[in-house]
Amino acid sequence: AVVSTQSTGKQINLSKLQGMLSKVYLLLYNCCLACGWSIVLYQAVLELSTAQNPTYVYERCKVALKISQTLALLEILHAAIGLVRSSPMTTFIQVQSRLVVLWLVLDPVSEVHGYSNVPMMIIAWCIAEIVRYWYYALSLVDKVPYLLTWCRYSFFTFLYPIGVSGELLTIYSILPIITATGLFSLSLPNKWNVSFNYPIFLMLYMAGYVPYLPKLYMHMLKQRSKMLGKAAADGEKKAN
Amino acid sequence: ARWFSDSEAVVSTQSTGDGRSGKTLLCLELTKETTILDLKKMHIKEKPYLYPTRMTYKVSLKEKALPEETKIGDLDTFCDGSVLYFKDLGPQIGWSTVFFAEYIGPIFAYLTFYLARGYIYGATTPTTTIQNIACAMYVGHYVKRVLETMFIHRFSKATMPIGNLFKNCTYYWGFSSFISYFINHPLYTPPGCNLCVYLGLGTYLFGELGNFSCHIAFMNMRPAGSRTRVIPMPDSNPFTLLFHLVSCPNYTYEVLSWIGFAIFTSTFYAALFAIVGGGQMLQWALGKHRNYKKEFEKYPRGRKAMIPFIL
Repeated sequence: AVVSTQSTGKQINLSKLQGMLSKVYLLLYNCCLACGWSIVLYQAVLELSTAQNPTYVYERCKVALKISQTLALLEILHAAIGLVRSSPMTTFIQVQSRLVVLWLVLDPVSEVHGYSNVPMMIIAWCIAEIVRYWYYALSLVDKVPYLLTWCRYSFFTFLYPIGVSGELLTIYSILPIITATGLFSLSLPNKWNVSFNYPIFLMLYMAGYVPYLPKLYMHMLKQRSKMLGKAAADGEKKAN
Repeated sequence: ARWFSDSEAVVSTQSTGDGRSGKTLLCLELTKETTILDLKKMHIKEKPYLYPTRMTYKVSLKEKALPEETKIGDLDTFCDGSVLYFKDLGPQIGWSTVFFAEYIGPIFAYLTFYLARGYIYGATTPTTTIQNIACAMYVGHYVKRVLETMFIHRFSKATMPIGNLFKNCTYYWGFSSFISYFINHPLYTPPGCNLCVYLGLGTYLFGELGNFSCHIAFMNMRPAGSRTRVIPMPDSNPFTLLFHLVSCPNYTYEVLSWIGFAIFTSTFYAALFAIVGGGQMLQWALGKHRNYKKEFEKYPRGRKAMIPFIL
């Protein structure tokens, strides 16, 4: 389809316009989220360095954290409609695992907010996401500095284990509490003849991490050698 | 145009792998009369672990696998040194075997919780009427399926990959266990309204009869031993009139059965089973509908895949 603008006399191709709009939207999305996560990081670090009570780290950054992490749901949509070249299933798995830990594990159980694994997990998430969103944003305008590429494909080597340990420890830490309070659990008899044992569900969920860990890590390592090799070659090309 | 020496053509078969041509597997001497089946047998002589149902050959990676009856002489532009692309589909298992494994499991799983209630739940009271009827409904559905597999179904492909067996059995046996566990529990709560009971049972029976009618219709559309496909049309059975509206009314009726069962038992996992099963059947129906439209130029335009007027 072709749209002609009378004033300039030029003809703008509609699909090109769509492409430009998508780019602008994605640029906006990635920048906003990079900023959002920066706010979370700032609040978390500030709280850690000033307060005596570690519980306040989560309390202080939880609003920005919830907004930033929940907005990531949009990424599943982006992948599903083809705006971004990712598999919707992989994106879904990554986003849902964070959302489960944030909304279904950490937020409802205030007793664990002060445990040391919580700020560790939050900060690991922050660094990973800030690097990732800046990388995406600058990729859209083709201006990714090699340092950023290096960070994106190297930080995961320690951030990933730290983040996953944080998540698993957080889930593990709420188990005794929710067993006592019956949080999210359902027992018979009820109208829908269903029972749900939330502690058992979480234990199975933790077990589910096990097959994914090595697979994802290996995949990122492979990506690393591919992308860093490519980026170094591109850099040389630009220099020459 | 075909052109090669009158007596022989040399063919190299290359492994397709991910669709990238790999190494040359074999170089064979073929004649115009050699069929794909003959080729498979020659190939098996070199690699005895293979068998025909897991082997496919294609002239180019973009095309479909060549049928076993095809002769080398039938292939256009095939000549000395031409390449056929080979793919090993992996260990295969016959459809009938699969269906039996998939359907016997649910019968056993359901009956286990129904019969061993004292042992499993420590139940002291007998089952209620609704629990008894639910058992008959669930087990009855699978008995019907086993009988249909034995006497009615004709399959267009002989086998399926063995990995599917594990996945499907987990699905069927898993859901059956969950559904049966809750329905046969001593703390089972029947639906609140009598209307639901009758509506559920009625819908289930309607769905089962409709589904069976469609299976009979499909059987008659495909004469014994043939693999030809025709545009599905209703026969004298009024249940089959649904063919006018959808390509896969058998799936439509089956989803109705399970919805009826879920309403009758008022059980979450039964409802989930209807939704997940329905979703899968919808995907299959969409695929079959697309194939029908591609295959038959005059395919009726108003028909949808599985949900009349909608999808």
